[in-house]
Amino acid sequence: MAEFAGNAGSGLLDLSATSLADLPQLGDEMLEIALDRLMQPCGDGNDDMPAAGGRARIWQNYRTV
Amino acid sequence: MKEASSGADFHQLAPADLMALAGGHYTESLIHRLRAAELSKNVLLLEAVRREAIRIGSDGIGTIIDSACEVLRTAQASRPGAVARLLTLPNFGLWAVESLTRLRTSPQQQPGKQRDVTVLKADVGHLATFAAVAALRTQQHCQLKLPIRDGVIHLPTLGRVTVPVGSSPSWAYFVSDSHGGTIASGSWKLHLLATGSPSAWGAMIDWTPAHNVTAKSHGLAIRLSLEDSDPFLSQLIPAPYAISPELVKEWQERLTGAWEFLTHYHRNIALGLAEALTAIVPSAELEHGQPITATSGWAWGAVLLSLPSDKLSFAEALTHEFHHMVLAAVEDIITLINSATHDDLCYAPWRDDPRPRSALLQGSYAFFGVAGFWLRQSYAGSSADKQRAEIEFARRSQNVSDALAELRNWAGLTDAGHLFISKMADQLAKMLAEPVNPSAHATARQVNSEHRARWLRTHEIRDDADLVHHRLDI
Repeated sequence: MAEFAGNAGSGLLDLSATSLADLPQLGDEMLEIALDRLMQPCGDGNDDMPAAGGRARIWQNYRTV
Repeated sequence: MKEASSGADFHQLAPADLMALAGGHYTESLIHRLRAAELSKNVLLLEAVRREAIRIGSDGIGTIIDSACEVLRTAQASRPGAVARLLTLPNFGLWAVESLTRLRTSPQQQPGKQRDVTVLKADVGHLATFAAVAALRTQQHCQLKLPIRDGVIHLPTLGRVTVPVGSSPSWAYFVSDSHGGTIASGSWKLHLLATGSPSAWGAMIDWTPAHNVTAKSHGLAIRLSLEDSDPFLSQLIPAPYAISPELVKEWQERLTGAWEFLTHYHRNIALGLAEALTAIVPSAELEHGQPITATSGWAWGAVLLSLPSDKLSFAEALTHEFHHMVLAAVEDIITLINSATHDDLCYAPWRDDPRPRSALLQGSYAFFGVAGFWLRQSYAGSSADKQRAEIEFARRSQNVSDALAELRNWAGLTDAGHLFISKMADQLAKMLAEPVNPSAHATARQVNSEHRARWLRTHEIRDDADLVHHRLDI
């Protein structure tokens, strides 16, 4: 089975070893596609807490009895 | 160091890695890869903020960001690991996503919003404080403007300095060289020693060093900052909590006890926490006796906690939140939930309110981790401890089993998402095959049944058949 992820629409760009000095070379289109994917909801739901950037992406746990 | 060329690389997880994570089989190497993915996410956001600041091109925001980026680039050239650690901090991630969102909904074009612009500039300009810390760590010659917020300058990981100015946002000048740095605002000036001398930091007037707690047990160490005043992480705190030296001592004592449990009985969770967790954001309880814990995918590496009542509760809470962190990073790499699918609200066994079905996956995984925690815990301790652990295990494993059944036929899961929950279900079946006192399962069934009945009553749903017809659209 192939590895998961691998293109701009479905994966996360690997910039972990990229020089910050080289980042400006990243194309605008590639950056926007990568951001769009990152900003998609993924199991959000805690709309009852202050949210970063208007999107919750926070998982809050109360102890229920 | 790699270039950001057109032949881009992507973070990947082999099916075996995904299955290992779904089954709760963590290794330092796997968690290290998730951490690298979170670094990529923050670097991507940083570059997006830089471009957006330039695009707006007014009020000096672009200049402040450019100066800070230049200092970070220079620091990275000499100490890439130190800069990577800074950029992976949870408060950096939160700064980045908040800044990008704010810049893209900037009030700059709206007349009469000058105060908003000033606040925005201070918020986005907070990047300079990370750059100042990088400059100190690399003994770099540089000049930066640091935002003063409510009379305070926050230097991430180091502490905060109180500046004798008014409460409106303003700026201080930071100059550093190989001997340390100076922060100045008007006639006020503070000299900072070169980094690496915490006692010298602590002795300075106007300086409040960062609170840290540490623990080491069974050959494994963890070091966490207690982030009670970071301007971005503070936004996550639902109930304000001022930390005192006495409270730091309490957090330290409870962490020491929890870490002993985790390293002894839950080794792979402890290994993962040591690699991933860097900060605790302390909160008050929402009400007396109602603890709260939370995790944010944007502030990866931090967990929000009210002070746990004992070391076992602390260990359980860290286990729960660790699973949220793992799944948040997995979801940054691969898509488990198709965001285009219609979502609706449903019963979540661990919540009193109706939850989006998409949130069930996160909750299921967190309580899957908690079920495993209590199963292992049932092998340890006194007979009373064993009884509690068996009941907790029985309750949470039933909850997860119910939630996975709810998810199994949901069209919102991708193929990878289905694979993930199938592996969770397989692993849960193995756990349920372990010998547990039947009375624990009976008690758990009763508690779970009462919770569900109360939920149905509260939300005016008569029975399960009625629930199907009363799906509450978001």
